[in-house]
Amino acid sequence: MAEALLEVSGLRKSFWRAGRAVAALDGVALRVPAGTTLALAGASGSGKSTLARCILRLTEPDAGSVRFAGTELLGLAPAALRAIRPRVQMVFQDPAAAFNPRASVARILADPLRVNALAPRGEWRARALALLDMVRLPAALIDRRSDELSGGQRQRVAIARALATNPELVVLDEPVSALDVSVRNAVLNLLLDLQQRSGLAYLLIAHDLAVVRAVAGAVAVMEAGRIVEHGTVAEVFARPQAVATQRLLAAVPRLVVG
Amino acid sequence: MSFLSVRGLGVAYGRGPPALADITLALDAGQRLAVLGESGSGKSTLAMAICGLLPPTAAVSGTVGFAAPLLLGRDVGVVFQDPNGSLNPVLSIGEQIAEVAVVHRGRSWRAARAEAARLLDRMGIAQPHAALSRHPHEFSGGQRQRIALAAALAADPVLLVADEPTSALDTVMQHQIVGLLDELVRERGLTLLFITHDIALASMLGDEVAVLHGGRLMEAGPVAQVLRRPAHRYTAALLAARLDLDTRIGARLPEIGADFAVVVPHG
Ligand SMILES: Nc1ncnc2c1ncn2[C@@H]1O[C@H](COP(=O)(O)OP(=O)(O)OP(=O)(O)O)[C@@H](O)[C@H]1O
Ligand SMILES: Nc1ncnc2c1ncn2[C@@H]1O[C@H](COP(=O)(O)OP(=O)(O)OP(=O)(O)O)[C@@H](O)[C@H]1O
Ligand SMILES: [Mg+2]
Ligand SMILES: [Mg+2]
Repeated sequence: MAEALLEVSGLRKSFWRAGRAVAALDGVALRVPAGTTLALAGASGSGKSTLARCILRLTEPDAGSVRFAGTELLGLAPAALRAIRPRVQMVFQDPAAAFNPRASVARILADPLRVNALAPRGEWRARALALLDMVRLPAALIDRRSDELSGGQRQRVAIARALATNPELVVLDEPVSALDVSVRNAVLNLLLDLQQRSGLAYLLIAHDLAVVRAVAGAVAVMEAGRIVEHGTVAEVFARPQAVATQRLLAAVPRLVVG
Repeated sequence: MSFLSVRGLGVAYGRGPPALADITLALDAGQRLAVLGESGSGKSTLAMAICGLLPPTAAVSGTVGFAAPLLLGRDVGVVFQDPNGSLNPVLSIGEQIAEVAVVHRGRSWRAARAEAARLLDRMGIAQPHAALSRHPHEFSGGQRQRIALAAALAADPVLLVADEPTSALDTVMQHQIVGLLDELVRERGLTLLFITHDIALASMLGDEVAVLHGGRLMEAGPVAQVLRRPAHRYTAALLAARLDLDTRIGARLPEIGADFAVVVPHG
């Protein structure tokens, strides 16, 4: 099998708790080919965000391998890692914590262009406005501070920021959990468009299984630091094998009227 | 007089269009109100106005009234949309949850910590006693959301205002939390106002539903009536754009366009 854009194997990470190491990742392997979407589901606390952070080396894993476009990221020197950064972006589960609350939306969206020297200063504002439009936000928000936005507006600014560098892979940690159904679908349509046009790949962490089913090709289910099920969306939703997957599917809320 | 009555409420943040205009609604004791609506439509603003927690820069008109005077933190528990907004990063979660019962209910620290551990246990936090001494950053997003909910419930409030309280939870845990809230409503007469984007969740946990769009109340009424026979086109469009496990999926997903028409863009 040819090497995929992202190849993770044997990933381990423990946190110290009361003098004892507790495994948050207990040997995780996954692959995301270019231009595809792998969804990651699983119980709260099963290790999804830790996995995402380890892939981007925002948290240092204890062991394992993370290969992106043929380059091993673990142990990569800071300068080489910086060169890869614009190609792999992340949308954090908690967008509020990822922004300086005093920074304007214009500043937040220009930062990746400035830091990575991707566009001249004179183009930043126009690029920021185009990004806002892509995530269905009005241009009037551009001079607001991030703490003057609604939760869903902030979440969309986080997505826009991740797209600013034209990355090849975006790790999205619950990117649409704070959006109403229409805006959520519009943002998902945008992600689908970008994938079709420029071959973007996504690692999409989502609790909403209807979203997983609608946009991902493959899905992995985590439980207690391990991947307990992995397959195409069609297979896993039709015939879930792991008990964890069966439980998650059975608990999807149903519309009950009357 | 209703337990809660909101009359002609308007809120504006500085320049720009008002975040809320002319909102009137009422809630009886022991009722559960689900608030649905577009991102940016004013749902969190409504919740904060009811709790008296709007920033000083907000200009408010109209009234928010309760049948009896309520004290925030004791009688009214609040879960913010961003769970970090509810939690202090430098205190252990045990101190934060227990403090509510110590300050507002006169509990001893020992009793309050024991109650905090019980609450965490019911919220599915593993090893709840040991968890009490950990700090918020040592928990996952969904764990923090449940910790914030535990802190909001620790003083046994009569009203819980919860802004997307299960948005970071897997379906199994969401089910458990919904069961817990349902029990508090039925057994202790808790009144619940919750915001959600999940229409199915609103239908399961709500008695009444209010639908906001562009700072205005599109409609409000009993859940079964509003969701079965929506009076407003926006509500109907929300229902039509909803995804579930049986939705037929094409190349693109439905969006609400101009005039509340549901459109599927070309892929
Ligand atoms: N900095 C940390 N220190 C100690 N323990 C941590 C830390 N970060 C995460 N954990 C623990 O590691 C486990 C995995 O957390 P993680 O955030 O990866 O879960 P998750 O699958 O993203 O959950 P959620 O769906 O709730 O966001 C949890 O039990 C959590 O309490
Ligand atoms: N502090 C603030 N200063 C200026 N504008 C604000 C402030 N807080 C909110 N707004 C604006 O008021 C409007 C309503 O915001 P609110 O947070 O109430 O929306 P919401 O319905 O909760 O949205 P979401 O579903 O995205 O959380 C939004 O357009 C938002 O940008
Ligand atoms: Mg997480
Ligand atoms: Mg909100």
